[in-house]
Amino acid sequence: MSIESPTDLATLVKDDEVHQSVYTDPAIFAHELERLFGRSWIFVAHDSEIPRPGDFKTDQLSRWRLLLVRQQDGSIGLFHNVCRHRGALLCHESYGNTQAFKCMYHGWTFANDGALRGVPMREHMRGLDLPAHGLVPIPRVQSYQGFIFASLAPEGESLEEYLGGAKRYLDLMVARAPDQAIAAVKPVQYHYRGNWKLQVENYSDNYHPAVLHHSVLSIGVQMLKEKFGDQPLNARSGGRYVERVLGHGHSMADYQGGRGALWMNAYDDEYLRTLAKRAGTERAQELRDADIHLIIYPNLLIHVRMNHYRVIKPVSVDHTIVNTYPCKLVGASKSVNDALIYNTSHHVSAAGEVQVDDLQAFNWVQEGLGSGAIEWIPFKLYGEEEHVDVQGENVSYGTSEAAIRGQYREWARWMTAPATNAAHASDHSASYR
Amino acid sequence: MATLERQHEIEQFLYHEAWLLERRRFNEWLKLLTEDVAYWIPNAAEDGDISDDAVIVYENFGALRARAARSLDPSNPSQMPPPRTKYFVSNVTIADESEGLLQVRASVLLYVLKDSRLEAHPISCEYRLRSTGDGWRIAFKKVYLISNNQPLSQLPLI
Repeated sequence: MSIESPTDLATLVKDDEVHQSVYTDPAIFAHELERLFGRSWIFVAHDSEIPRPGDFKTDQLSRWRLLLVRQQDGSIGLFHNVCRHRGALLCHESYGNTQAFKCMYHGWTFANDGALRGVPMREHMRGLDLPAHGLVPIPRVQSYQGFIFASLAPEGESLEEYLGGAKRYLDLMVARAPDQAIAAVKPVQYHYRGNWKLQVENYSDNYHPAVLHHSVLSIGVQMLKEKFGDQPLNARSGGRYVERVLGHGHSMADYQGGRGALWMNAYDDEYLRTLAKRAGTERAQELRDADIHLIIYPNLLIHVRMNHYRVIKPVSVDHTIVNTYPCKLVGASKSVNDALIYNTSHHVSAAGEVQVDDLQAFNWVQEGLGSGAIEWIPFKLYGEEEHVDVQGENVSYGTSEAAIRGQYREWARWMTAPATNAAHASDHSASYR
Repeated sequence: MATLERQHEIEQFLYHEAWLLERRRFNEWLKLLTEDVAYWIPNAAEDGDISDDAVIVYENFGALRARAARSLDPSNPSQMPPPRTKYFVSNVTIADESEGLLQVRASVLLYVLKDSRLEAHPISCEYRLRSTGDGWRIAFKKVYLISNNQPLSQLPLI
């Protein structure tokens, strides 16, 4: 199947089937960068990664090199991490604190707000418009509850409109901290030889764990039995979890507390008492037991119980990097936060217990799809009592692929949307219009 | 400076450890550990605060025993098929010797063949070895992968 236009892209996605080329075709990946990542809101950092003025973070998303700087007034500056002179990569550290960025090649120097401050031999430059040679800004940067997002499109819906129904789960992340803030630590990084969407889908896929993770789950279940006997683990829900498709490709799966919190054993009585003082006992228990996988499409995954977020960074059609940031609950005891960081580390690291299984699956799916043996991939698993609730969200119970179907509705929306709102004012290499 | 005999003894001990890991004789490897062992693969840097920073692994004996069992579990997808590994151990230095505890540094070049890909992992290992009536035992092992600030995929028991 060759792709000539956005109309063709629309034919790759049906209500509950997806063509394999969306995982394997480099041309479609290039379209995704321009049309989806180049226009929607993409997550870039959490506030706590760069708390003080002068703090910076650099990152890479496919070909884009990003430089995120905390300004003197507390606002965020986000620029292409590229010297405006000859195009050299400007800053080479992942994190740091500085007043200015100096290019190692000819010494052009930029202030934290991106302004060009120093040009060696400037008196000999002819016709160089200095104010026009600051760092190239990313058009839009907005944040919600400390989660900082960027859009490479100069115009479009606001971040809050884009987040929509997902906002209240970001509120939840904050509400679970005694001091109503989370603080990220340095990320654990993994990668796999597969398409970025495999990781997004996997995060909302509750069809696979009993099979793929059987080896580690059997150890976990045994540990739980030794600790708690045969008491039901999901008392509140009777063992069912809830899945909500939130629009814009976002979704959440609520595991209804209990199981994970008991298994992980991170939250102590002191944590509960501190929360109860602010929120009342009942709400404090709900907050403690919250056990939710949240997907903010296209590149942010949030684990409410383990208190981490993951950033998906597509490299190429068949190579993806995922950075996982364990977070502390500010105001919780050291033992709670130690347990959160420990559990996230051992869940996702390259020598960890769970994610390594998924990476194996991603590698094999990519290899199998790459063979071209199958054309259409079914996402035809439907949950129980699927309905649209008063908030307009698709709700179902039990195991379902509703979230994945929602992701492809959003994918198709971006991939087929007209390019009239000039996705890349500052991106001269965009080839597809 | 350690005596030649001591140097030889420790090198032989580390070669034996590498051989057990390479042959996936993980249950025998466990017997080289003390019951209060701490095993650490730091994340992002050579050192760190074990509780305040993320880790790739930080485990005690019980967790390592579970890890060994999982590594040998044929239904464990990340071990399908089991990776082939090769250890080159060198630069063995006895840094300190006091009260029956040896501080040892070694360089390890670990090759992992998995899914038709051969990956090389240069590693600095740091040991604290305890003398027992039954020979040396590992009370502490730190595995510093120089690539621990890069995205990694699947690591075997090192």
